Amino acid sequence: MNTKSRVIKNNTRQPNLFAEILKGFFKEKIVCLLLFLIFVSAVSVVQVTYASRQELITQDELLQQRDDLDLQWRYLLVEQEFYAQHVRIEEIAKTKLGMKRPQSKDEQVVILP
Amino acid sequence: MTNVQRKKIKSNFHHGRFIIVCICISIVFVGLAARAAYIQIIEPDMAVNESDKRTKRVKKLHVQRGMIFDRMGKELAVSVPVVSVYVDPKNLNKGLIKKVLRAARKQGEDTKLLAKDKVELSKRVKEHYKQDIRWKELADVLRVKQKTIDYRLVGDPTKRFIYLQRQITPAVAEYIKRLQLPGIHLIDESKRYYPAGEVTAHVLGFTNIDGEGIEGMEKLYDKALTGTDGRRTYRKDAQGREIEILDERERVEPESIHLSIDQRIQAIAYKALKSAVLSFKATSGSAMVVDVKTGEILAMVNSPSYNPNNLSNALPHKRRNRAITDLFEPGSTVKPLAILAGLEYGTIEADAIINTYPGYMRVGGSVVKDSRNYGKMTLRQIIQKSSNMGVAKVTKELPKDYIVGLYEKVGFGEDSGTTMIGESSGLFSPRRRWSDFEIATLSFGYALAISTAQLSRFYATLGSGGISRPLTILKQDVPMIGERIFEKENVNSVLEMMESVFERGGTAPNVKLDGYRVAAKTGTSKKAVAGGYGDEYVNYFAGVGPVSDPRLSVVVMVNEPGGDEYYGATTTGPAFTEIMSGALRILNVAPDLNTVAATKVGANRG
Repeated sequence: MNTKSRVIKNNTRQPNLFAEILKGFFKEKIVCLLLFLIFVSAVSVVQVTYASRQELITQDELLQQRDDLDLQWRYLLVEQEFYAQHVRIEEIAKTKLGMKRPQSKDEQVVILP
Repeated sequence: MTNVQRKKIKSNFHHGRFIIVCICISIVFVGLAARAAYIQIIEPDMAVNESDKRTKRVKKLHVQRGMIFDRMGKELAVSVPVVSVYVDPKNLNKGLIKKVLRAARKQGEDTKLLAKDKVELSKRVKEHYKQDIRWKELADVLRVKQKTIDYRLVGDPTKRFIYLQRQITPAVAEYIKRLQLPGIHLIDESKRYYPAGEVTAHVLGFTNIDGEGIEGMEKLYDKALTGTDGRRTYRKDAQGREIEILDERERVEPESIHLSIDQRIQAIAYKALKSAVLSFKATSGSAMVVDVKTGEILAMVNSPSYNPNNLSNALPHKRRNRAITDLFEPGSTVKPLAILAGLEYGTIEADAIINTYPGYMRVGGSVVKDSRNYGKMTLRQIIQKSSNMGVAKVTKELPKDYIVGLYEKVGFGEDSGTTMIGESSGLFSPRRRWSDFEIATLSFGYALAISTAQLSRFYATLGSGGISRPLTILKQDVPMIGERIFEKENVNSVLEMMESVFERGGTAPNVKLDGYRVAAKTGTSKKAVAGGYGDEYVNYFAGVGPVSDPRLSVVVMVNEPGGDEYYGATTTGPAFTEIMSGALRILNVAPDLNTVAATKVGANRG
C-alpha cells in the first residue's frame, strides 16, 4: 500500500503541499526574517502593554495605600496630641508621680565656656 | 420536451440566479461594511460614549487643609479626613420600587398592573422598607433616632439631596458602604481638629463645616492653607483596576503655617490666666508673652475661651480674641514711659528727686492727686509707689508735642503688627489739641485706650533696650526689623527702677518671682463709663525679665474683677509670676537672681 502510493505520487508528480510551502517560504530569507520580526514585535507589544498595565495597577494600589496611611497617620497624630497635652502631663506628673517644679535654690547653673 | 430536459441536465447553471445570489451576498457584506463604517467613522461618538460609560472613570484626588504648627513644630491644627452621608430620596424610592416589583414577579403577580397601582405600590414600598433591617443598622451606626432618619429617607421622595450625618469617621463610612443601600451616598470631606483645644482657640480661630477659615489664623491664611483638589481620568478593567491614565491634574498641596507661638508657654499662660480670672471672678482676661529680641509672640491667651473642636458652646463673647480687640485705659503701666520721656528729653536725670508735696496739684482746672502725700521722691520711688503726682510733674516740664509724639512712637496709635483679624489700633488720636490736664492724665495712663497687644509691644521695646519692633505671630528666621526709639542707657535705668515694684513699699511687695530679676509695673485703672468713671476696674501686670539680659515681656490683664480685690498686684500678680518664671525656665534662660553656683566668670549674680 505504502509503496504503491509512493509510486503513484512519483508518477503523478503530485507535490507535497506542506513541503512546497515551506520550501517557498525559506526561499525569500529577508521576507521570512521580517515576518518573524513582525511576529516578535507583535508579541512584545502585547507583553509591554500588559506589563505597563500591571505597573499602573501597582502604582494605583500604592497611591491608595499612601492615602490610607496618610489618613491613619493623621488620626494617630491627633491621638498623640491628645495624650501629649501639657495639662494632662502636668496633672500626671504632679498627682501620680509626685513631681514638682524645681525652685531656684535646687538649681545648679553651669555656664559653658 | 426532450430538448428542454436535456438542456436542464446539461447545465443547471442559471445566470439570473447566480447574479441574484451575488448581489444578495454583496449587499450583506456592503451592508455590514457600511454599518461598521457608520459606527466607526461617521458617527463614532455613540460607540465611544458607550465604551467610556463602561471603562472611563474620573477620580477626585482630595487634598487636606494645611496644618498649623507652633514654633517647635507641634501640630496645633490638623485636618483629618471624614465622610459625610447623604441620601437621594428620589433615587432611594426608585430602588425600593424596583425591589418590590421584583419580589412581586417572583410571586407571580402582574407587575405591570402593580406598577400602575400607586396606592398599593407605596403601601408595599413602605412595608418593604420596614422589613429591611439594614435601615435600622444605618440609624444605629449614625446615632440618629429611627424616626428622624425615616423621615429623611422616605419622607418626601421628590427631594434629591438630604444630609443624614456629617463628618463621620472613615470606619463608619466603610460599614455603611458595605450595607449597599440604594440612594445612600458618601462624600469625602475633612474635619479640622485642634489638639490644644481652648488653649490656642483664639489665635487659631476655626473653620466652618465646609473647611473655610472664618476666624483667626485660619481666616488670615485661608488661601495658603487651602490646596487644590486634583483629578485623574482613567480607564478601568473588568475588576475595577486602573489600567490607563487618560488625564491627570496633580493636586496642589497647601502650605503649612508655622506660628511663633510656643505651645508650652501658651499652655502655662492659659492655665495661669484662667485661674486668675476664675478666682477673682473677673469678666475676662488676656495675657501675652513676647520675645523681646525678635518681636515674636510666644503666647497669646484669653479667658473665657471655648473649645474649637465643638463650637456648640462657643458664644460670641467667648470667641473674641480680647488680647488684640479689647481696649482699656492702661493706667499706671505706662508710667515708665512718662519717666522715660523725661530722661530722653533731658529735663531730668536718672537720679533726680521730684517733690510731690502736698500730694495733689491743680492742672488746668482739675486735680491730679496721689493716694497720700509722698513728699520728695526719687524716680525709683515714683515707679515703686506708682505716684501720679510724680509722673505728672515729670511730663509737665516737657513740650506737649514731644510727649504725644512719644506715645505715638511706641505704637499706641497703630496696630501692633500682627495683622491678625480684628486687631484694633487703639483709641489714641495724637493730632488733636491736648489740654494740660489731659497730658497729665496721659502720663499715668488715662485719656487713651490700648489693647493688651499694644502694651506688650511697648514692654517688648523696654526689654530690647529701646528698639521698637512690630509684633508678629509667625515664626521668624531673623528678628523683626525694629527702630531704635529710646537710648539704651535710659531704658536700662528705667528697668532698674521698675525692679523696685517688688520691694517692700512697692505696689507688689507680696509677689515673688523665683530665680529671676524682673522689672514690672502694676496697673489698676478705673473703667470709663458714660459720663465719667465707674466702679469697675481693669488690672494689669506688665513686665520684662530677666533684667540682666531681658528676654521676655509679659503682660497680664484682668478685666472687672468681681471679688473684693481690685488691685493689679493682687489679681494679676500670681499669674504674672507663674507665666514669667515658667516661660523663662522653658526657654532655658539662666536665673540671674541668687543663683546658687555659677562656675564661670561672667555668670550673673543677683
